[in-house]
Amino acid sequence: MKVVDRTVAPPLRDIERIELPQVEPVQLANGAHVWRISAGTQEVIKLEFLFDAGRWQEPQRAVATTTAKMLMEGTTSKSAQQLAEEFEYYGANINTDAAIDYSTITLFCLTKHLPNLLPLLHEMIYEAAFPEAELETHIRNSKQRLKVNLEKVDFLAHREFNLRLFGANHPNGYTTSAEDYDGLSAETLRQFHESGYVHGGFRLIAAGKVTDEHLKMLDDTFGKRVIPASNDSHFTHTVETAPGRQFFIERKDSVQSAIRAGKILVNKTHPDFPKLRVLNTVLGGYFGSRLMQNLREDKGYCYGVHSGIASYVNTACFFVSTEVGHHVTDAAVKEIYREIDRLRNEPVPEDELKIVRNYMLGVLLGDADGPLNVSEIIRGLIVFGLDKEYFIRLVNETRTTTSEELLRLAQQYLDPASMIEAVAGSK
Amino acid sequence: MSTCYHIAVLCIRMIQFVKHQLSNGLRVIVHEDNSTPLAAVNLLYDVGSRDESPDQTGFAHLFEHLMFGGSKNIEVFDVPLQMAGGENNAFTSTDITNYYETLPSQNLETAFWLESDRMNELAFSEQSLEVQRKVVVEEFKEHYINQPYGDVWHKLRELAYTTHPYRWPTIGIKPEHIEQAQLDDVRNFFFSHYRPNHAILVVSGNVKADEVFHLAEEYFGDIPAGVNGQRRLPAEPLQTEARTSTVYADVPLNAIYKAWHFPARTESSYYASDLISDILSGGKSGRLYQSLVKEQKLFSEINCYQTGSLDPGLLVVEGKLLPGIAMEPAEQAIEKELEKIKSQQVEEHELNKVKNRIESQMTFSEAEILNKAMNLAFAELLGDASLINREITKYLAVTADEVKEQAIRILKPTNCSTLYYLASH
Repeated sequence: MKVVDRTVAPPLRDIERIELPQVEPVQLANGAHVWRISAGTQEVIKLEFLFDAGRWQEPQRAVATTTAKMLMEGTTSKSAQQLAEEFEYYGANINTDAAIDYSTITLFCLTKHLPNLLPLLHEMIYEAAFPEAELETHIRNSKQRLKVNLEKVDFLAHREFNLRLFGANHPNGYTTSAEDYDGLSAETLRQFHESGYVHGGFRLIAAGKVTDEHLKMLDDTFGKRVIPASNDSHFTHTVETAPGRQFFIERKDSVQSAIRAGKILVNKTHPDFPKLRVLNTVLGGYFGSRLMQNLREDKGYCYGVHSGIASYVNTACFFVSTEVGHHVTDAAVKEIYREIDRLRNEPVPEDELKIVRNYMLGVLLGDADGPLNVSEIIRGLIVFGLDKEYFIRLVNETRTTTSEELLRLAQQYLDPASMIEAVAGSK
Repeated sequence: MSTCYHIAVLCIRMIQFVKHQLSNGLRVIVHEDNSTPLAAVNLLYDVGSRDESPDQTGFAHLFEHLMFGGSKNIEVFDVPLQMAGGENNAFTSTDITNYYETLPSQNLETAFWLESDRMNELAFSEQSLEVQRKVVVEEFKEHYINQPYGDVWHKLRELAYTTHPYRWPTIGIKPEHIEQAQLDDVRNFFFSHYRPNHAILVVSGNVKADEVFHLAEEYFGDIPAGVNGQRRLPAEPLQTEARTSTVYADVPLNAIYKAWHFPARTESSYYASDLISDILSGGKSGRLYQSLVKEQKLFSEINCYQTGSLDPGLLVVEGKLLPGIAMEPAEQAIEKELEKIKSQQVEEHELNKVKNRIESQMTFSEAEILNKAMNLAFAELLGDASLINREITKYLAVTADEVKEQAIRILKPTNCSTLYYLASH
């Protein structure tokens, strides 16, 4: 057996094609849209229902999330315990939650149990009862968890950042408080459930080994209910960024400070977005990123630092987030802005950009692999009204991004003077 | 008696694999899955924090960080991998240190080059050591000091173990141990533990077994084997009386942690014992949650889990008390639930429920090539990679009698360590 020459890197082959598996749009009898992703090696299914019942649509704080959570706390004919017992008997995993723009109900199960689970799921969604006693328990326990979170600097910095960046009246701006929980009533939740779920339409992503027979079962269970025409356009919220740039939350004796800095950005539907993703990755989106190399690998300030773009239907934000030793807080903030400025003043060297492009294409290849991953891509498209073409564009734009484009984007979008920063820690 | 072979088996696909051992002792396992364009590479080293000396804890994990600080021919580990379109990470536990990459399968060779170069010879750079000491100390602060209840596992391990190295957590007893690490220690650790005969390499995904074996021979074949020493860890003596400890800390809620010594991962009683944690706390229908959170409203949250350790581990019940609830009745309520599982046979329906849950978890975890690679490597460490295909049968064969028997054996007051973690104000 020959021995390899370890001083020479093996030859590489570029990723030439990234293809999504077939995603088949179908409609149930009532017109509800289903995206079917039938692929994979395992006899599993993931169903994800999207309802227009997120924070964007809620009438008061904490209603969307609490309504979603309370779906699992009992129906008109089943107690919370019976419901949990029946889902779990079939080894199913069920999650309900509200995001900013929509709420999700996600079921993971083995295909063989689907016939038993669908009627149960239907009952849970449409006949939720919001029992007072269960609501009380839910609120009490949520408030206890909140107390623990309020001891964490990253939670505090995140909360302050959102509040200052989006404003207290914006769905993105608030972090649920004890008062918000106290303001909830079962009646408010019932009304929201009525408008958002019972009389609202849904979109469904069905991924895994989804057969025609499974689709028929879905149609039988969820295709009969009449869905009124969508009326999702009457909610408006405006971002109101607070005056001032630096916000500090004191936590006495904290050995680390949490830092969160950033600004409002364009969202996924903007033509610049695919290349802004590349810019963000260079800065703080992967292990080899400039922030990680500088703050962690060069200076040892932190365990981790990253930047990201959070994209919502009506807004988006760019952020950098880290927790650093409290004595290096100011130095770390300075280095974050120094790295952002470097992107605005010097083109990214070609060899660095090549690494980032290849890395990102590898990630996209993984994202497109397997029905469960693909279901997340599809969700990320349909809520923005985008289709598979967008994913193809994303791949192509990632592949063709140039240093000049990144320089222009950094200059246009990442002016540190337009950013705010929230720090939680000790003085 | 309740056996229920009928509920599963059909659903679990056998994971096909081939195995080959190099002359230096490296075990290589390949699982072909051509439904994906990717390959996953998992390299498990048979070393964890249980192999550390008590005055140098946290070292195995610090070492994991140093494995990314460059090797003889490769300055920065991540760069060639990212160039190849790959991602990687690693973790350290009490028992193992595990490194993994996923990348487009056409660039598989890059992962072999990277992993073999650092197994062959690490760079042993003073600068990398200095930076990673700081990074790990910040990790220590972020997760174990600057978090409410962050030091629970330090306290709990210290109480439950008197002798075995499980008495410290993988991050280490204190940041000072990490700050004191020297380059000579790094070198010694590397040459005693990071040798091919202490490692298991698994490749899964869009690959061909013969090509993988060929690459393995090329890249790993010339790395010299290390000493095949027997691991001699001090055994934990049988606990003969209940232990308690009380901690006051700046936390918002009182909490209780109860830990019982639990069978090792390789013991035949492991499977029946594992079901105890599922019965007590699997999902929202678990007994502890239903009884103590929902019905009696004593706790805001409660959980039961076990550590799955290679040497005898711990079964833990942890709960956070609601305001105004005294510790004593809360603890008694836990005891009452434990008494039930010790005195009454679990009903067939409930036993089937936890078995269904396990079948589902296993099937989902095998939907990803990286998980399959990790599971194969761990099964091989346990003694035989084919265990991956036999474990489900072992779970399904557990009877109600066996669960009760293990509950009686494990959940004895004299086998228990209780930590009261109380709000100081």
